[in-house]
Amino acid sequence: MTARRDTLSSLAWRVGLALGGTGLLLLLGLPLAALALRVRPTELITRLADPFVLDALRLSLLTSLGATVLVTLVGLPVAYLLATRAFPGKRWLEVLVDLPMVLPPTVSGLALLLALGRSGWAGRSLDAFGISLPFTTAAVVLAQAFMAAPFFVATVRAGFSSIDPRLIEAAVALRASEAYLFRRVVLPLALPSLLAGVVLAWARALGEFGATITFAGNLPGVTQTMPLAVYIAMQSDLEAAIVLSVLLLLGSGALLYALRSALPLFQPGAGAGWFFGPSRRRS
Amino acid sequence: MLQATLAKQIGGFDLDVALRIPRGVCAVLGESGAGKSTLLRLLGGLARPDTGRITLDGELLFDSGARICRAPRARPIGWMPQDGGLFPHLAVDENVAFGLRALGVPRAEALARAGVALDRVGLARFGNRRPRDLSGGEQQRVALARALVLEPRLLLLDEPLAALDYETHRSVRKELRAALSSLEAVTLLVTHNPTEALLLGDRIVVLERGRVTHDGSREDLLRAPKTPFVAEFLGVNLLEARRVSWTPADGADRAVGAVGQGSCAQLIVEIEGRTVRVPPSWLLEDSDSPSRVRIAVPLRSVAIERVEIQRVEIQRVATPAAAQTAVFLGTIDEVLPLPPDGSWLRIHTVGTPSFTAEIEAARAAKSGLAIGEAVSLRLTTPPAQPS
Amino acid sequence: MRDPSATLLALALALSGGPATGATGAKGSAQASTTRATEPLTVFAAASLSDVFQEMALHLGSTSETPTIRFNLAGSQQLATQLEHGAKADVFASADQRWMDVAIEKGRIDGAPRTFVHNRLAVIVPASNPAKLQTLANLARPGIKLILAADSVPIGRYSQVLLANLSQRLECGPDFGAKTLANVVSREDNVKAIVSKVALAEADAGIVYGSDITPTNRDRLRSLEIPADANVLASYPIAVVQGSDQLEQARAFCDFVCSPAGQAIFARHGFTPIANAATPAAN
Repeated sequence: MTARRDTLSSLAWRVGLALGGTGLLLLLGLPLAALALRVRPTELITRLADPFVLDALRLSLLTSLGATVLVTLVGLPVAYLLATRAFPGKRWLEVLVDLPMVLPPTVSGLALLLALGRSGWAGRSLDAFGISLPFTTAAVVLAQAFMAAPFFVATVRAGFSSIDPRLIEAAVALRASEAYLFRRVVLPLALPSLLAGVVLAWARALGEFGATITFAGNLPGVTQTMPLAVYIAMQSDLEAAIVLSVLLLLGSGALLYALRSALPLFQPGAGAGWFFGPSRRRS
Repeated sequence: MLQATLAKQIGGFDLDVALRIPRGVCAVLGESGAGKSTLLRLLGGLARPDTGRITLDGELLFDSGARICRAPRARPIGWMPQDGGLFPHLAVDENVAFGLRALGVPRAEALARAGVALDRVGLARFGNRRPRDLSGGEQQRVALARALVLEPRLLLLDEPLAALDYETHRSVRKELRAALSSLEAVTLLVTHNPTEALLLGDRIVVLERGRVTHDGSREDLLRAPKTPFVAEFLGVNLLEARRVSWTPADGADRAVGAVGQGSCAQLIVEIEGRTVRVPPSWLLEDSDSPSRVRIAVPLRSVAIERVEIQRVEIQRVATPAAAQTAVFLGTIDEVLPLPPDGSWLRIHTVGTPSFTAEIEAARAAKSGLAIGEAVSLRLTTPPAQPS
Repeated sequence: MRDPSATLLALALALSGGPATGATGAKGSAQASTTRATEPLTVFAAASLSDVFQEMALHLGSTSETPTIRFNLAGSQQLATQLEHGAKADVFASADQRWMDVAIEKGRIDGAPRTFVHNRLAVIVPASNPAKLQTLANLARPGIKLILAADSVPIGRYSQVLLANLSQRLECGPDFGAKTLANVVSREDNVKAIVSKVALAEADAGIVYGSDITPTNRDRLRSLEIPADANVLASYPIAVVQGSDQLEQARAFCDFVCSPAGQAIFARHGFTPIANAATPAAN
């Protein structure tokens, strides 16, 4: 009697796993497949020569990379501080860093405009120096960085926190200053998380739309990134929009795949997860 | 010379110790949770005492009153954490050279000195390997080299042999002893293993629940084990007794003598309500109170029999004249065959009080001694053989 | 005293034999308190018609015979594309003939469209006029931040025509068009976005419809005078959508929009009623 119940519950477990897996596969795969299969490869190539497409592609790549670099530079110290220090108001800092993840992008764009726009808080001072941000490519980078930062900080912070504290202690006992500790122990051991954070931030920056169109505007060659180009194109020429979308899909997919394949190289002896049941792996 | 008075409270646990440790190896012995690792971390500067003062060779490392607390990197320490704590992403020689590089020593020189240190622990050609490719014993030796290369004056070793298998244990222990003997440093070696403490430590500090219960030489520990933990290892039962009467042989007021040595007077004590005669050699030197004493009963001085057989005898020993055969009752809860061939058994009983006895396996079998059996226990003198 | 237009509408409904429906008009969403279950009327309308159509819906809702009206407000190009891909609607009101033609071409229009209102263009600047623009010729001054709509949006196309017209005038000069276009910093996808950015003083000027200057934003905007003969007269067509299952109500809506009562509402909102097309628009 119990053996039968055992088999049934084990079966239920596996069915549940399969259903969940298939569900997500369909949810994600079906729309992407519908997109990808809609366009003939020849049309893809011809469209690539269109300046509308090239401009958007070039702009997207440049701004997303710029935003990723910016996010990495300013995000690393914050992630490190959050992972290693306790200080008054820490919770508020955490909330602040998380907010762009949660707010609708248009709201973020509006906020950026009110702060850095010509008549904005800080914008006014910048304007006095002749620096005007809205409607510039720099504004695109800022909007993307704003939206991507939380993803980077959260991932990297978790990476820092997960380092074996005994290794940190050993390093400190071995005369390491904090800077030396960071450079020679923390950073190398957190490298996988760091890379994951960079990839996430880059992906978010690449797909950023709402804050960009609100804060930076929409001008081909200056601020019209791929997502904006797709949006505009979709309103009048669906085919063009589809081609752009597929280009974006292929480019992102290729980059993500390459990064995933390269990642294991940076794991200092970490395993690939655990299996339930007799291991089929060697050692 | 290390002088340290420390107090620290962590959650429900509090540590309060005062130590004076000269140059040489001092083993800090205690069970898990006794506070040994905490003590080490406090001395190393990795944790901060609530109150206290630490000086090393007269140099002040910490003083809560004067609000001085030197960071670990400003203390002349060598640190060897449990399991070695090697950096997985660095090669062996880079691991050993880590501290030197952190101090600004140029790479070439640091690696050269690391090579020398590795050679001293017998791993001369292991420089290029990765920690994950090394065995447990090799990792421990690298960790030791890494600590020693900095020429520390206070060496802190946290359970250096704990993770090793038996074979490696012995060889690493031997090397450790050799390496430590030539050091000009105060070495504190934390362990839960009494054998290790006795073999490696010139001094032994016993730590129990945050307090030092013994601080002295190896011989002191052997002579006067203060806790059941140490006692069992040494092969004695530690019992609390009340002195009833005794007859001194030479008129001395108190019985003195180490376990195993003879003295010719006789002593009558009361243990858990039963009056027993014991040889004075079983009496532990104790300054607590004149009437309460502690008795160390060798494991082979406990005669153990199943209750039925003894029933008749129990009635017979009710008279004071036969006090020396007073009987305790208990139930067997553990039977351990002893190496090398299990011809002797170590039996643990639960009762008032609990006992550990050693008995020949053949006799035990004949008496039908097994786990769960109710037994009677008698203290017999002299012991059948020295343990 | 009942509004005569409502009586007209009721009469029209009765004459067409449609069932008497009771409903409360609502601002863009359905509030059902009908005696009989009726579907709300779905009207696809150009963004510039937001305020005026909302008021019309309220007006219509004061009688009990009109259905509730649900509006989908966006750039005309977006609406036409949605219709093309099968979106369900009853009425389509576009800001230019071009997108109506697209909808007709895709077979989504029932019957013939008719022009229901005109709109003149307006060049707006922020109330603070940061660029100190006095005349239209100033728009060609280098460094001005001008916001237009994308070409696919009706107002975008009209703006191009306006600029071409202005280039013909002596005071602007022949390269007025090129210089002005060089000043464009963003191309929005609907006219209301242009209004917001100029109102926020982020841009120096924008080209919108006359109707976009409303009581609400009047104090944040000023407009530059456009010579009547240079100004563009936008014509808005309206039509019933093919496949609507509320043909009577749809036609009734179109009729009301063209009726004197409807036209009066347009006039109040700054549009140019159809009867007055020949006369110069009063700003």
